[in-house]
Amino acid sequence: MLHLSCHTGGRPIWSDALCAFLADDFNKEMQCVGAANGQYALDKIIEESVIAGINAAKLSGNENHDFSSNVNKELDILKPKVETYLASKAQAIFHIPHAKATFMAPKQFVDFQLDVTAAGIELAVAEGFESIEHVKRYTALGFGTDQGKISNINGMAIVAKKLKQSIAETGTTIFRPNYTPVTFDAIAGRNVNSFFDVERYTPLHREHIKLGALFEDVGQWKRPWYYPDDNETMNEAVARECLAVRSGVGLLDASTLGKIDIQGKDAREFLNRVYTNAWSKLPVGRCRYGLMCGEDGMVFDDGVTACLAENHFIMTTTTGGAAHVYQWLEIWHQTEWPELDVYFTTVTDQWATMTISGPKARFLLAKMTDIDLNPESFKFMDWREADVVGVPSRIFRISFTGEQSYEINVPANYAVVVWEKLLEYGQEFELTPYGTGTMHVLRAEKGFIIVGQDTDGSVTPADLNMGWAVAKNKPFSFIGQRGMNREDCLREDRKQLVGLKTKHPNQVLPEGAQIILQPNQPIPMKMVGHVTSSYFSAALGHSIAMAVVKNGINKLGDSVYLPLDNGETVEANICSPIFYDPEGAKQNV
Amino acid sequence: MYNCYQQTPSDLSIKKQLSMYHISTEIKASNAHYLLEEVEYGHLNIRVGRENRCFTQALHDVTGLQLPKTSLQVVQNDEFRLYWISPDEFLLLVAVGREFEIEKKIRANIKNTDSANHYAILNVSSAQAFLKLSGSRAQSIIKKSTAYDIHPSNLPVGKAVTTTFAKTQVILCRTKEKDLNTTSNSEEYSIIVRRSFSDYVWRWIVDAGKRE
Amino acid sequence: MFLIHCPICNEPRSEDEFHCAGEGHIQRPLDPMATSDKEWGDYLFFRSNPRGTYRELWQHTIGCRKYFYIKRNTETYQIYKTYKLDDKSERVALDKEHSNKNKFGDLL
Repeated sequence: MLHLSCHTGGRPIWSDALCAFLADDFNKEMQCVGAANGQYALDKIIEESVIAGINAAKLSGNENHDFSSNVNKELDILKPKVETYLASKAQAIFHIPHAKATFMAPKQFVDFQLDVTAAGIELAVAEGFESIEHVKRYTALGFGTDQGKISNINGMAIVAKKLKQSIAETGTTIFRPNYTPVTFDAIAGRNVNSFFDVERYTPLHREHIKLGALFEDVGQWKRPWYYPDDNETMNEAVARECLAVRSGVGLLDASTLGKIDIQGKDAREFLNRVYTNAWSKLPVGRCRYGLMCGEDGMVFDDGVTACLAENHFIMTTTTGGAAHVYQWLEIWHQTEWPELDVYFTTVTDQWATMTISGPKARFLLAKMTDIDLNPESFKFMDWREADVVGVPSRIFRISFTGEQSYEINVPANYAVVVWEKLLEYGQEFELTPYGTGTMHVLRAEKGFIIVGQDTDGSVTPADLNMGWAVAKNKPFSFIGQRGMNREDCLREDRKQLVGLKTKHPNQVLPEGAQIILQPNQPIPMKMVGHVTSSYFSAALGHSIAMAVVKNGINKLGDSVYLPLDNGETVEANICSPIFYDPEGAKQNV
Repeated sequence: MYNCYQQTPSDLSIKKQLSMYHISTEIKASNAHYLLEEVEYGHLNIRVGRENRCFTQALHDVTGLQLPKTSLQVVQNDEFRLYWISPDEFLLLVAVGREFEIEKKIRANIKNTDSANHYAILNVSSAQAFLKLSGSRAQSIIKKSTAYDIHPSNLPVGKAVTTTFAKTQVILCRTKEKDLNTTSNSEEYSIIVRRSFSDYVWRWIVDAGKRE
Repeated sequence: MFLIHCPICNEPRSEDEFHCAGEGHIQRPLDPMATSDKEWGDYLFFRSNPRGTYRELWQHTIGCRKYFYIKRNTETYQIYKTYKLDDKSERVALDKEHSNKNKFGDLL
């Protein structure tokens, strides 16, 4: 009834006596009787109905009939004898009181469908949401399929109490059609299963399936996660894969990394403007790591870009950031710097990328290509054209693992041939395919960030202790330069990326765990940061974590504490995030 | 100035796997009502402004084609087909195996070697799949898959549109008009899709092809 | 289905193909490092958010991938016109609106 009233423009009115909302008289042609009007006594309901009936008859055009004088008569005739009884006044209990403040008390669920608690609603009010419509959207109160029929009144009463006002002043959210739930089969199609979202495959997808890989969703991509042997758990498989890379050689399908071909005489200048570091002097045949920031100075993507020819570069982006980076380049070129002669083309799908990584990587590659692999001539951060088992390739000597590492890029039409040969020639080196699970551990051992995991859009290069990747003297003010020099970005107590070593070497911290400086402080504790990445390092024999901590770079060696949700508080030491081979010797041999 | 090189192995016995290589052997994409096939071409992505006479001349010398005069247009002759993708982007389809030769020839024919001469050519033959969809159900499959108005007055032969297709995007063309002598739909369409989406699009069309 | 005319493809296309990139005609300061925190903040964070006529930057993302402008009404969703980046006429009109606003305050 209230819904119908709202659909015609009415606003519900609160009745303290009934502890309920009633329809207002916005719509003069609508009459409410009985329970819809807050009337529960049977004799009164009959009386209201008769009056409403007479009114309706009148409104329908029977004007010449004098109904009003007849009301009592009609009532006498119609009125059946009913028992009247005294109903006690409605009593409200919206929010069970507790000795502790709501946010300290045990959870008091209000919306049972969406797990909205009384504490959550009070928090919304504390955050400054005063309109009931805003509280609803902040907390999701009443968003379930019951549309608040169970929870809304209680929720609004809690808001009213917190705002120290009446429920009438607080008001209610209003209702949209439909009033009666519509069954799903009336509006939905069939179950579309895997068509619900796109699945993107690399050219090597079938090879991963053959090897028994489990897959991880990265954006729309299916990436091999890990390749379990027999009954291995994920942790066991990842530990095995990690050790294989550190002691022998591993193989990763990196085809999902975004690749953007950049051509034009102003390509360098464009790179200077979109990356934080300098590109003017990168020679042909070399690669360089770059950080990309938004105008606000916050890191939003990273990757390696190689100089293919004087006016020709290939940029790699993170898997998830590829589409965004491509749009980013286009919008700046089209709207701000159309005078720069440069063209961008996505070539992510053109090249399949197979990374071999580990101390034996070069021995394996030497079996498959004739080019000079001597580390004096094909150095770390070089790239070369090569035939790999007869397939034209570009080999980038870059490393996300900290080991000797070659990324072999071949046209996707020939990816499987090269993969099969890698496995074949790799046998004598016990080549081990590894997935994203292992990739994450290996890069964390080296303190390499993953944008979107160790950064969250509020992290500058300086916060990552990566000032080395920011050019100081580029003539053009690159994107992010002004932003990262705002007063707020220069504060000393910003959250900065550090490593964490737990006191007990086997304890793996949960990602997202909050960090405090004093373990015995009252709630709410003063939180100074959180864990961004955390793994057990099989190579090092202890757990490792990356975290952002306020002024963390100046706190190396200090103890911090992490209160976990099981009540335990863990002690850890702040350290450098580079846990493995800090000199970088291994990737350089 | 640019890194342009042969991407096809000289050893022709080396196995090539096109985008649809696996999915086409796993799931048959045809029935009495439609037929979906992958057709192999050499794909060259061309970026150039119409005002670059020097480039357009070289393109014409090598392919005999001028850039499409209007947006969304496809021009072709016996050997080449050139799609308008955007005002400064075109897709040149060539016979299988000729992509490197044509790329080299165009570059060599550009008289002005000044670095200010601005263009880009890129071999993207591995990056995308060319699909041909025919049969009486082809039209209804396309209709199910895109919001684009495919009425012949809006999508005649000789027009190519980049548009939504299922939950991805493709370059869509009508390649053959309906034969007026038959009552059944006898149109033909081409769909160019990025390689990583090829399994999805293939399965989507198979699913659509099951229903009237 | 909501159709938007792409001025580059020169035909109406489904809204699904487009992506809004926020308020249009915002000029990046020529020398960002010379701006004050306030000037930079205005450029970076503040948008006019008017009720009524608004000029926005859009991209025909699933299509020609070019950016262009839409002049539309934020109340009625009516699109007055779409125009290419190099069309300066609306830039001129916008400057005029701004100078009138400065002259007459909130009256206009």
